Amino acid sequence: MRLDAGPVLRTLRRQPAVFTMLVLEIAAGVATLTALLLSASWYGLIGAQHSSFDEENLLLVSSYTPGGDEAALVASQRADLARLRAIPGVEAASSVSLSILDARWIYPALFKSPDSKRRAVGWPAFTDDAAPRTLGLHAIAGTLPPDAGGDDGGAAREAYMTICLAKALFGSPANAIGRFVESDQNVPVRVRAVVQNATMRIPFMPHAGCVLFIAGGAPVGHEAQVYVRTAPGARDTVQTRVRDAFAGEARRRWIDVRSLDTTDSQHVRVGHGLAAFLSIIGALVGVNAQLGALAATSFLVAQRRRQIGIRRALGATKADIVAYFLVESGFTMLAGSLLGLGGTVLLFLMMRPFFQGLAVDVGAIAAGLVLFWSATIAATLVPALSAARVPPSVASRSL
Amino acid sequence: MLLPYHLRLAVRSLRRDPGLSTTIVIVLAIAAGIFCTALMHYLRTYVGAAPALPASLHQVEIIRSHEALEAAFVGTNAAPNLVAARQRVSFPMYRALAASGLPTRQTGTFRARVLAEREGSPASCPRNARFVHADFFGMFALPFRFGAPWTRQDDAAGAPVAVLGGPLNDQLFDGADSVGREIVVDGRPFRVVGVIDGAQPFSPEWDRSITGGPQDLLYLPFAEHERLLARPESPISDGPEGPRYADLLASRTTSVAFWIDLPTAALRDAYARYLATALGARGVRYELRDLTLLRHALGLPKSALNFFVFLTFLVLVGAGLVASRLYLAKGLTRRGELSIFRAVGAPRLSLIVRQLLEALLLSALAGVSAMAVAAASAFVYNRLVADTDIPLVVTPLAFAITFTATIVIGTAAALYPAWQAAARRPTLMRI
Repeated sequence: MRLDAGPVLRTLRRQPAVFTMLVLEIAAGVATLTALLLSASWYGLIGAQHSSFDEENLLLVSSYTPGGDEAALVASQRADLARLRAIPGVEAASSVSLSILDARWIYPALFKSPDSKRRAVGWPAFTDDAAPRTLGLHAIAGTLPPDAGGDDGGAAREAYMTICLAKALFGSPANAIGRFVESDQNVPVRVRAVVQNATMRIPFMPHAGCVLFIAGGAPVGHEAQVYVRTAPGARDTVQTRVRDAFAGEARRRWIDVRSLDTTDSQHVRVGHGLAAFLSIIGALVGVNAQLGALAATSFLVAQRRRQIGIRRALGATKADIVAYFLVESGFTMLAGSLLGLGGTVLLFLMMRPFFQGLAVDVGAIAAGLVLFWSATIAATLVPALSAARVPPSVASRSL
Repeated sequence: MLLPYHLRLAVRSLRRDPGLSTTIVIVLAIAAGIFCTALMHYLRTYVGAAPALPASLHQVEIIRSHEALEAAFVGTNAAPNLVAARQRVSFPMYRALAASGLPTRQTGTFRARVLAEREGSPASCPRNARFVHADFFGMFALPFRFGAPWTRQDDAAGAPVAVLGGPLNDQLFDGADSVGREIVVDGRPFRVVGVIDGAQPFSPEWDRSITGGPQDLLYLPFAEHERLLARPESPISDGPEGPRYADLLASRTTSVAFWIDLPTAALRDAYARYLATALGARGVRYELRDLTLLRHALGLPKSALNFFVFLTFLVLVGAGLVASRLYLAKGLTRRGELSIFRAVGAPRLSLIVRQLLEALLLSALAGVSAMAVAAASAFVYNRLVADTDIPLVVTPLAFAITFTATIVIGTAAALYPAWQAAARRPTLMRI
């Protein structure tokens, strides 16, 4: 079998329009397929984001208590917290105003400090003194406040922030300690510690891991979210106990007890759903490309039946004929892919404003190219094998 | 008239290469279906399907800095949320705007979560309730399946009345006429006076920032929010407020959208004078806009949807290139026939027209078939993604645009092959 590019180049030169069309078609296919795979991969990554807590030991108890008396609402929520803390197997429980499982839209805050010229976007989470223990937060810098039994109400007492916010606002975790931070959602509050990043908002929202935990200062409302830390390995048992403890209240108010399991959250369903959906669309683009390649090679075979006959009469083997079409297909694929990768770069630049943190995913690009090449080569082989069966006698039929 | 003649020949040509014709239709239909899917998303977000609303609807924007939101959202996929900051006002500002007594119709509106169930049923989960005035339903032309909106007298008397969204009526009353029945909202009884027909528009004119989110399920009189202590959904703070509900009502936190109907120039002028006194004199910067200006000034910013529409259009163009090569193959298989046509006197133009007509027929078939692909794609999207409770559906506008784009691209794809096939020399010899 000879892989001779000469005849291929001559054919391409004879039909520049067809060649150009083919290259453009491949370029469009490669660019659109890789862009679809890149966006699918981005949504997949969003769907894979985790709260960063040890979720296997955490429950989230959400409640809605109706009523027009704010004092009664506060009392009811405090009583709930006390009841939760008393359930066997519960190690700690805290009221926290944010949760990664809450898909509702809320607005972030722009944090600033009199001690820094920088500003940073993040999320204030109003909580109580038990939150560090409940959430399993560790101080990276400074010291976490002791659990003095303070609740999430009243004036804001002190705060601790995630590394993400500390770096954005003060340059480093160490620089944040002792500084005051304020925003349009919270009064100035002193930072006691910097803790590990924790995703407290659905990851589709910007800066979901930049959080300022504030002890106290929570607004009064019907809704409350309580994180419950269970004894290791006892989450499911405790979940049942909590449900039983509140079972009699379903007619009066709403209480939802669930494990803090991000794999069962809306952002995971939407992220994975979009990734799967875009992959299906990508597969359809691939099917179209395959149909195009199949038709193109069939067209070339039909057009060159006599030429193939002559080559066969002059001694070309069946393998030579197959190789000829594969080289031709490979040549156009190469040219189209290179142009397509240029298109991918342009599409990538267009995507960046809408896909925060979108990175060049070499895997997705390679997958796009491999898919496209495999589909096209498979589609070329069918008519190429048919061409190889053209007998040498075809060369003399029109003489 | 040669057109019917050419059309007849084009149809005959179609039948002669069923394999190639079918491939062209499939390739174009798949690509057009993909394009239509992105277009459906785009149209429901940016264009909407709401009935035409009068341009006499007005809103007042209180002009202020949105530094925090801009820092968070500009250049991101969340940018549409900035619209809320400009469409909504604080409670004190709402009260000032609503006190003129001038507009023929006016409504304040915001959304909050409440517990709403049938009498005696256990609480299932908090639901989205929109607090509005009686005029709201007429101003935004909401269609009623059963009953009617409550009246201004009901508003004035503080009557406990409610309008159910179609989906909530389906959930609570199995879709039956629930007018006159009672529901319990946060433990208080409300009488159902009307049921909205169908789902809420995906991008509701009354609050475009909730585009893409779950829909309004229940409408309650605006004044009820104070009795229910209903905290507005996604408030935009302008400084720390106190913890109590009264603190929110007195704060500069942006929560309420306020709409007014000013159908005459005299009314508009009068309201402008009122604003100059009530706000201008206090140094508040504001802008009064009618619906046309409002849509122009506060349109939803670009999002990933714009990108996907462009990307899928590229897919359609790529399919056009595939179709082009398939048309070339068609021309090749018919070279003998075309040469004979040329030999018996057919001008080149007639051969070109015939092939373009054939392409037009194929593209039309692909455009219609694309709807099956788009419908299947919408079904898969609604099952796989389900990011909102308003399902994605193929709309007449999406169909019209997709069909036109398919026809244009499918026919344009045949231009070069038609020209090349018609350039064949006249001959009677079998080639």
